[in-house]
Amino acid sequence: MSGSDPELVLSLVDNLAQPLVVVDRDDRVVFANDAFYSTFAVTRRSALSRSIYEIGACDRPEMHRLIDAAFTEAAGLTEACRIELASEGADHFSFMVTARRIAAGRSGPSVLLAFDDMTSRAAATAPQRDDSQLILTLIDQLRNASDADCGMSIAGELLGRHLDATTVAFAEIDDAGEYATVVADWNASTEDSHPTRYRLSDLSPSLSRDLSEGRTVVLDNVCLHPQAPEAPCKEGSAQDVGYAVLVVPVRNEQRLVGALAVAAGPARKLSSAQIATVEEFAAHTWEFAERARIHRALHDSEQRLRLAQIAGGVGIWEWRRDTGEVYWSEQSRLMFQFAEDVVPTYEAWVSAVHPEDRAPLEAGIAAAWDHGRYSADYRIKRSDGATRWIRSMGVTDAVVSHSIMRGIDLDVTERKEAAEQIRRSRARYERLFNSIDEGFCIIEMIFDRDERPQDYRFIEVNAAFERQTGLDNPIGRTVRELIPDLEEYWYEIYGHIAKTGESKRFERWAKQLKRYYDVYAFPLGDVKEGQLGVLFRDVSDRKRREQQINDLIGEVNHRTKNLLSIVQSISTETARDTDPIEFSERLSERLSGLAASQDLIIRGNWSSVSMSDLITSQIRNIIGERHDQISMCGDKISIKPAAAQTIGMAIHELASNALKFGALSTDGGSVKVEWYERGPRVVLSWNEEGGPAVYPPSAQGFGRCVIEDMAAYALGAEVELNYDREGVRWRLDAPSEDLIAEEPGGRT
Amino acid sequence: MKRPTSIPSVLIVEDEYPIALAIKSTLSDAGYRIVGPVGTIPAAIALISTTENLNAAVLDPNLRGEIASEVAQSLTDRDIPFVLVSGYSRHELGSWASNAELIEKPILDDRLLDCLDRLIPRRQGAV
Repeated sequence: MSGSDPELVLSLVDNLAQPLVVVDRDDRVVFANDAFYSTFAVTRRSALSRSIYEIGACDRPEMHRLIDAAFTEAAGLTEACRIELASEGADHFSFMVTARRIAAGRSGPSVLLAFDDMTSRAAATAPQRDDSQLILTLIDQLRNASDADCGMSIAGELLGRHLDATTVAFAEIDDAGEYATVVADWNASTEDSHPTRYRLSDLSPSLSRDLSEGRTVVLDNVCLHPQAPEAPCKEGSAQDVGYAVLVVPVRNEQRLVGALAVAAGPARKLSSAQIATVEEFAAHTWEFAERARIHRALHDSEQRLRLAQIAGGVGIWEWRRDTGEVYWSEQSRLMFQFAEDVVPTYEAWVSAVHPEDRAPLEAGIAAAWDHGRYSADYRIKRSDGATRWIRSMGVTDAVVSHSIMRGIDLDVTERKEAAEQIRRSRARYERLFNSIDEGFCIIEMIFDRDERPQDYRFIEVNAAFERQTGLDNPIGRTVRELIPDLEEYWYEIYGHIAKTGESKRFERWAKQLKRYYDVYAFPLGDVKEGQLGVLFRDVSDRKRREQQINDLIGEVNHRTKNLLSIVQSISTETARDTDPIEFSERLSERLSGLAASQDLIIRGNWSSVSMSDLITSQIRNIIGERHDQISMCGDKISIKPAAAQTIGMAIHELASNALKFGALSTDGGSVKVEWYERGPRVVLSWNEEGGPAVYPPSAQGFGRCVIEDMAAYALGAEVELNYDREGVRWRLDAPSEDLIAEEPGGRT
Repeated sequence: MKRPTSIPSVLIVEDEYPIALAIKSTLSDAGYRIVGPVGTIPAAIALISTTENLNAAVLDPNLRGEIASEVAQSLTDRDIPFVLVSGYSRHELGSWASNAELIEKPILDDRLLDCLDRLIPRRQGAV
């Protein structure tokens, strides 16, 4: 080759793999080779005359510095600068850019930029301890940090070692921007220890303002153990070495919240690259710490929520109406026994609800979207066949979206069942309470100052209470109001039960109520409350019957003795006028007659005896069933028992005599018995005829006494007795009042 | 005026005729003079007021269902001792009978006679 062949040169340049570009004083591209165009994906036409800073990602401070330096330096290679640039195809490249001022041509001085592709070289060679690698390491290590403090410690150590610093500290700064409190630090030597709290103004008067405005501050000679407000250390101080301190602010929404401080001692100057590294660290670490704190808080609150859910058996759900998304917590899922693969949807939930409860529940939810609140108890059918009661409550989200409802689920089956059990047993108790015939009341004793029972109050009464006492509406009132004259023993008995707690059954009279009660009283609940349950029954009727029976037994005893007296008298009198040989037979006859009358008296309930029955039974007693000789005729009247006994005895004696001596002693005789009631008198007659001739008896025997005197004596009657020759005639004429029974059936 | 001790007279008040008759027989046999017998309260009171020198009375306290306390009172008023003969026991009769002599039915003759002996000689001794 000889001389200069522009074509050859151009061809050479275009064939170089290294991108080259020449820019003029105005940073405009005046020449570039093919490698440049292809690397930065621009065409020659679009690139020429454009500013180099408009191409790729060349608009970087480092590029400016580099190009400026190349123009100002007289000649030679200016410093190379590693710059990350992006082509227009968004591919990232890492280039080492070299700038050289070249001969001024027509267009004045220009600078040649040569790009060395470092991307492939970095991958090919061993990793370098450069900043980006350090940041990657940091990010990597932070990923493993368990919390904010741990992250800051890792970052502090990494940074401290990289910069060969003395101390790296992360600090929080209070709202006033006055104090910084170290929350995590790293020290090169374990012997070093520094205060954890600094007043920013002690370190530098303008520190607080600089940091607040987001500026990184470099302090050249700082004492980390300030003894006096004047911050800078005295020169030559043995203890307090001056440090170079770099403070990077951390701001959250324009507000200063913390700082990363790096101290390197003894004082030295930090390069801009180092400063950038520290800034990068501050940003990364703080972001991590924030995230870790939020994460931690979230974790804590989730844990607490989970515990609350488990302890309270509470499930949680969320439903977005607009997207149909549903979330339910594990607790809710288990409550409904949804399989794990069931996708949470509103429909899935509704399908679990008991068919009878679905419609009202869905209506309730629809309404809840309007008024923001929902609460319902409903049954679900679980996959295991069990029916459970669920209580759900929810509220719509008033902040983010009204289409979101969140709430809780509670399994209230046991609660419902317990409540139902109580309701049922209460109902059963009330039904029993009100259906029994016995009166029942709960009373509360009232004692006076000396603990003597004074009164009692009705707390509760059953339906039968009024029927059993005749007391109306007693609840809340005291017995002294209702029954002022109640006997003292009621208070004494109840007071005793209330005090001792011993139940008692007793029968007592309540005179004012005119009732006799059978009572069972027992203490209710705590003895101190003085409440008693009193179960009682009005047994007045039973008492009356018992009294009647007692009276009756007494009466039977009396009448028996009376009858025995009569028997005794009859036997005495019979003995008096009868031959001993006949005595037994005569007495037997008379007693038999007496017994026949007694039968009728008892059958008539000691109140009345039919005259006809009486006469028939006495005659039959003497002559058996032979009726043909006797005719009986009379009114249908009933007579008193005493009269029946007297008349029965008289008829007995008449019949007995007639059979022995009179009309019935022969076949031709006859007897006519007649009775009638005429006005105030009753007349009974006995007339015989056709018998043997009659002679009056010579002696006045017992029989004749009975026939003649007894009726007169006992009935106040007039008695006529004639021993006519044709036959005996007997007539009794007695006042009705002494004879006729007063009981119904006495007259008909 | 001294008269030899006359035969003591006894009033019989008893509504049951056979019993009255038997008491009458017993007392007659024992030598008493019998007043009555009567079976009603009015008849008894009438006899008490009209009979002089009545020494004692045998009284059934229950006459046709009525309590004969009036008769007892009438006797007491005249200082005439009496014995009750009854199927009732003393406590069934009531307080008016609590101090009276009582023979429960059926009557044993000896007991009735003993009782009258006690009632009458004591009276006479006191006079």
